[in-house]
Amino acid sequence: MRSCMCRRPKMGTLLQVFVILCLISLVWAPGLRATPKAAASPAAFVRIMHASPDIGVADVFLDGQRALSNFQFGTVTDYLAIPPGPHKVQVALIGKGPDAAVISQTLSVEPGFAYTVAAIGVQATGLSLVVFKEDNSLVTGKAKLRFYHLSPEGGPATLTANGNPLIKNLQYLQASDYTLLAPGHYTFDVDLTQQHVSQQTTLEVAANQITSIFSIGLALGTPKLELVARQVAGTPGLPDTGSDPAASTTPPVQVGVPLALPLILTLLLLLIGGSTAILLRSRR
Amino acid sequence: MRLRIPAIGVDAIVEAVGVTASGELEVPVRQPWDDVGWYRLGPRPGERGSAVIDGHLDRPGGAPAVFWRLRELKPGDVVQVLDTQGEWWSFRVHALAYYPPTQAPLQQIFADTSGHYLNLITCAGDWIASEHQTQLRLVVYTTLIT
Repeated sequence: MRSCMCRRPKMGTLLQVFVILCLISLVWAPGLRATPKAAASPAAFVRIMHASPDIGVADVFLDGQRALSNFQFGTVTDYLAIPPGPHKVQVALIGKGPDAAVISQTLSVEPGFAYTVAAIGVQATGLSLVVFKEDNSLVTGKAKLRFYHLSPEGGPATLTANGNPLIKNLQYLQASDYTLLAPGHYTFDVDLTQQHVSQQTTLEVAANQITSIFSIGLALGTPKLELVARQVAGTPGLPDTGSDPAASTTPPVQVGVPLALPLILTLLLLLIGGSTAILLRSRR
Repeated sequence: MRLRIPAIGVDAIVEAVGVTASGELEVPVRQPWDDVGWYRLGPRPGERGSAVIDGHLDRPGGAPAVFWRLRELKPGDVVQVLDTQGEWWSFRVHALAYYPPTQAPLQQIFADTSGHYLNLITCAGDWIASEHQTQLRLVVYTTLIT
């Protein structure tokens, strides 16, 4: 008898269940997404170019540790992931060790960014590293190109594509803005107009890729003027993978569960309440 | 291809996706809320570099979609991909990070060639009606288990 009394549902119990179910459904409902945690610190990405005519085959040291060996003039590495912040970069002739470095510089790199670091210059005017911050984001359906003038003693450079000037009078140690091209086959010429010297290369530039063309070497002397090209895949932007929580365009079965739960329970309670009232009224 | 993440109950078909006209990673189109999208212009899962798979957080109206529970992953959890040759590749979660969409380290997400990575992307944060997008993106970084 006692157990029967205890199991009888009371209005207070029903309300408690209703409140708990509502809370569950609200936590489940859209808009109340998890509080984001702190972002992990991303790496910086650095590629290194050997563009100094006066440095032979070299070793490159990063913070005292050998990062590259047998590094030859005209070489561009892939992007290397390194911790952001300041780093001591040293370039030494192969096998000589960091204490015999011909270039020693501290460079600072920011998290998430890509850089090209070029060893440049000639003994007469000094050897050093120059840093270019990169933007490797792709442009859909287009080839993106950047030109770097790293040929000393040659004056400004002009880059032409299939005979049409693309980048005019770029100063030594400067990189151009990014230029967009239709994907295809191109003959690129660099002209050092003050020296009346030019050099060319042919390339297939592809959609969604980033093409870098480096002018290196000497207008008069050796190693002679040359163009070095590197291509990397461009990076897309992040996708839009969220949906409007206020929209109601999906089928009711899919969309209804979290939103409809409190509504259904409310209607159910109203129905029970209404039925009870009608029943009581009919007994009077 | 299939993606399985036992810790959060994901077992999804992988569609190949490219980029939108405005340069963003596309999302799956055949079953937008249930499938996930592998970025076909990057490496395949298991190859050197950063393979990327995206998936929706929720459906219009707010009901959960395939990557609703992605945020529950923890470092150490396992992510598995079945490739088109029938071979399973297993990855271990090593970090989760939230970024505003225009401030994400895209080079790291799409172009880190220092290892064999699989990065999973979905939306996070509050819905901004005026921009018709969420405030953040969640990236789950995983590394191939050798």
